[in-house]
Amino acid sequence: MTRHLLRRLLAAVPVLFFITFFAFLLANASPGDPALVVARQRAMDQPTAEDLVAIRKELRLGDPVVVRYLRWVGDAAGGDLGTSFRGDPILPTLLSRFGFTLQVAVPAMVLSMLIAFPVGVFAAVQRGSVGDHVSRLASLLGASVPSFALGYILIIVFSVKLHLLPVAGRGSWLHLVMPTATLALGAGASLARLVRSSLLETLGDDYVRTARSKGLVERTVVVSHGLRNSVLAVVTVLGMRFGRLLAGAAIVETVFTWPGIGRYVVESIYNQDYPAVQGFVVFIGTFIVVVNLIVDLLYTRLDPRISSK
Amino acid sequence: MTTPAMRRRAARDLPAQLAGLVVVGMAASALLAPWLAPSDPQKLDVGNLLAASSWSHPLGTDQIGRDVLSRLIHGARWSLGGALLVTLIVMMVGITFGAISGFSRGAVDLAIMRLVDALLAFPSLLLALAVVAAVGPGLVGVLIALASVGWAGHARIVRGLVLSLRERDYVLASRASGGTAGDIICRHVVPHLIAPMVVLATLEVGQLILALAGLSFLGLGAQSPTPEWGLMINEGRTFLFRAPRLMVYPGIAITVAVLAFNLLGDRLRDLLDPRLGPGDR
Repeated sequence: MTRHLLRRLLAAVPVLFFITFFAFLLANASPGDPALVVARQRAMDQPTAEDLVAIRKELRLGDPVVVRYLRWVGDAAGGDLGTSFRGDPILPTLLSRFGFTLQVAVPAMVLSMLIAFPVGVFAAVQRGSVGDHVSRLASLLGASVPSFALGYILIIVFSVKLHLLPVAGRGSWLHLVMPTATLALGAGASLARLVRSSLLETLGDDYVRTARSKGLVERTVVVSHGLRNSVLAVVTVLGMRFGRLLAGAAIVETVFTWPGIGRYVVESIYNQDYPAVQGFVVFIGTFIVVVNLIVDLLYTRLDPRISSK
Repeated sequence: MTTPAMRRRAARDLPAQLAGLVVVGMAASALLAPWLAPSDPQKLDVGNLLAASSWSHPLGTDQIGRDVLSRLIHGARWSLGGALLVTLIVMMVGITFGAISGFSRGAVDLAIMRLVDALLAFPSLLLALAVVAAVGPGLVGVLIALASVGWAGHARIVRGLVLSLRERDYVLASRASGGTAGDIICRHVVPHLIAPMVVLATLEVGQLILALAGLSFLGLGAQSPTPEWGLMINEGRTFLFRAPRLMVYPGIAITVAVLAFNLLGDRLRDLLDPRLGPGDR
C-alpha cells in the first residue's frame, strides 16, 4: 500500500515540474514589457526611461530565462511565490482567496452528488418511462445552460423579484446559497447522466442477471450490486469533476462578486499580472495533483479488483 | 458506415431530428446573417436606447441603440463559428497524434501519451486561462488557447480505437497478404473512425460554445463590439435590473445551441456507436 503511494507520488513529480515550467514559459513568452505593466500598477503615468530601467533592475528582468526560472522554482519550493505586479504577496493572497472559493466549491460538489444520484438512479431504474425521459432532458438542459446565465436567472428570480436572497458579495450564509446552487446544478446535471449510464451498464451485466434469477428483491439488486459500481464510476472521475468545478468557479465568482481565487486570476490576466498568474497555475496545479492522488488512493481502496502489486 | 437499420432508427428518432434541425438552422443563421438580420448589428439607433420589443426591433435595442435580434443572429457567426473552427483543429490534431501514437507504440507512443495525460489531468478551462494570460485577452487568443488544450482527449480516444483495430482479423489478414500501412489505414481503420469521430465532434462543439461564451463573459475572449453571445451577456450586466432581457436573450441562444449539439451528439452516439460507452460529459 505504501509502495503504491510512493510510486504515485514519484509519478506526480514530473507533472509538477511540467506545470511550473509551463506556467513560467507562458508568463514570460507573452508580448509586452513587464516593466511597463509594473509602472502602470504603481500609478506612474509617464514612466521615464530611467524609471523603467530602475524597475527592470529591481525585478532582475535582465537575467537569462533559465536563471530566472530556477530562482523562481527555488523560491516556490520554499513557499515563496513572490509578489505580484499589483503589490500583494502571492501565496498568502492565493491561500485566502482559495479558502473563499472552497466555501462555495465543496458544498457545491456535495450538493451536486446529492442531486445526481437520486436522479440518475431513478432514470436508470425507470428506464423508458416518462420520468426517465423528463429527467434525462432535465439533465441535458442543466448541462447545456451556461453557468453565468443560470446565475443571473437565479438572481433575477430570488433577489430581484422575490427579494429572498442578497444579490452578490460575501456576508452571511444567505450569500452562499445562490453561488453554490449555480455550481451544483450544472455539475449535478452532468453527473446525473454519468450515474444513469453507468448504472444501466452495470444492470445489464451477467452477475446482475444472476442476482435477479436468484430471486433477490429488485432493490437489493440495484443497490448492492448496481449502485456499488456506479459509485466506483463516479469516484474515478471525482478528481476531474472537482477540477472542473473549480474552473466553473471562476465564472460563478464573477457573477456573484465572490472574492474567490477564480476572480483573482481573471483580474490578474486582465491586468497582465504575470507573477500572479504564474503563481496561480502552480498553486492550482499542485492542488489538483494532490486531489487526483487522493482520489486514486480512494479508488484503490474501493475497487477490490485492484490489489497493490 | 451506416446500416439500413441505423437509418431507419434515425428516421424515427424525433429528438435527434429536432436537434439536427436546430443545428442546421443556427448554421444557416450564421452563414446568412447579413441577409437574415433586420438591421446592421453595429448600427446605432440613438433615438431608441434600451427599447422594448417593437416592429423595427423585434427583441428591442441595447444600451447604445443596437438591434438585439440582429446582434443575436450575427452572434452565431462568432459563438458558433469559433466553436466549429476550434473543433476542426482539435479533431485534426487529436486524430493525428492519436493515430501516430496507436500505430507507433514504443517510445513515440509513450511520449505522446505522457503529454496527453499531463494535459488531461487539469481542467481545460484553467489551462486555457493560462494560455490566454500569455497571449492576452481577445477572440483569437481564446481560440488558440482552447485549441491547444482540447486535442488531448480526442488523441487518447483515437489511440484506443486504433489499438483495438490493429489486432482485428481483417487487419492481420491484410498485412499477411502484403497490404501496406497506407492500405490498412484507408481501407480498414478510417471507416471505423468516422462514426465515433462524428459523435465526439458534435459533443465537442457544444462544450466549446460554452467555453468560448464563458471566456468572453469574463472579458478575456471576444471584445466589444463583436456580437458574441457570452460578451453580450457580460455587457448586459449593468442593466440587470432595468433590462434583464439583454442577458436573457443571448443566454437562451447559447442554451439552445449547446442543447441542440449535446442532444444530437447523444443521439448519434446511441445510434452509431454504443461502444463508446457512458460519456464523461
